[in-house]
Amino acid sequence: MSRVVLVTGTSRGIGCGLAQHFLDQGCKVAGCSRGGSSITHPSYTHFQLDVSDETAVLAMVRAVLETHGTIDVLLNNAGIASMNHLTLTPYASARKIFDTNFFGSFLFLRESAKAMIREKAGRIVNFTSVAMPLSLEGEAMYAASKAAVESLTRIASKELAPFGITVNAVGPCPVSTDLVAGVPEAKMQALLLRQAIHRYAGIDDVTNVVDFFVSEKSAFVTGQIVYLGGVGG
Amino acid sequence: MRETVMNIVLQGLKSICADSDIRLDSPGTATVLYGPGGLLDSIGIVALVAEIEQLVSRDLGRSVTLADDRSMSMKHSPFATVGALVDYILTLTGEKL
Repeated sequence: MSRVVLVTGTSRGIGCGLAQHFLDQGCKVAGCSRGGSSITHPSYTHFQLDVSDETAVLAMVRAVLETHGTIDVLLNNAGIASMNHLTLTPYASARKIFDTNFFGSFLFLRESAKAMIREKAGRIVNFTSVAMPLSLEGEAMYAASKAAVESLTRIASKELAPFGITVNAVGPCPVSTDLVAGVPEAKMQALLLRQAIHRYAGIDDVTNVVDFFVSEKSAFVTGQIVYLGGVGG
Repeated sequence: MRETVMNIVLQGLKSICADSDIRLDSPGTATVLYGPGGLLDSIGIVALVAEIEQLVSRDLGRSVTLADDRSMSMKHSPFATVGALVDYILTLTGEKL
């Protein structure tokens, strides 16, 4: 039977690539973003919402359950970044980053986990970033929000283990997406030099780790954070 | 409406107890769910909340979040007994007690 996969942030970048990847595997995919979707596939359903809007998240999860009966996999990908020196970071920007990156992940994790608890099975993958372990200058709010996601991942893995649900996180190094489009190339090259492997990640590098985490064989793998590119935790 | 919600809570409770091999004799309004003498531990309450929210959604067509700020701060927990939980669901769904 094909699995039901919920992916947040599917309008472009990694989220769009993940949705396509699981559609190619025959899964039913429900995605969301603040805008419309570029994905047209008979097994794809798109929801237009803000991931930090609790009412909208509840409505989406309920709609997915009404349509498919379950959620097998949650990929908490939606994220935003805003590079700035912390003394120049507006409070509203800091709140917005945490709303999307942390509270959005929390809401989808909480609501999807409730469905998975009833099935006594499920796979949740959160998204962190190498910006966290590298403590990148100019990324204070982004890295802090990802640190919160990592803590959420570790604790959720313990709280949900009794129900057969695994919770892990993948931390991509820079991928050529819109998220880093505004960052000067010299800064990006300096960042790549801090990795063991000095190149951008591809979508395939991300899906490889995600595939491992969501595999039915990975029932004994939980609470783990895997960074790409050879960045240490 | 109270009878419908009562049936939802009892259905959820029976399901969780069956899954956990917990003996459930003639459950009713006074059945203690959690706390001293309660049927369920904290994991059981988590499973019960997930089950009942789904049943409310399916049977009443309403999305409710049982563990909200109000329920967590109430002096008398809505998860203490079956009757308290039924009352709380009726409150959340806007029905008169």
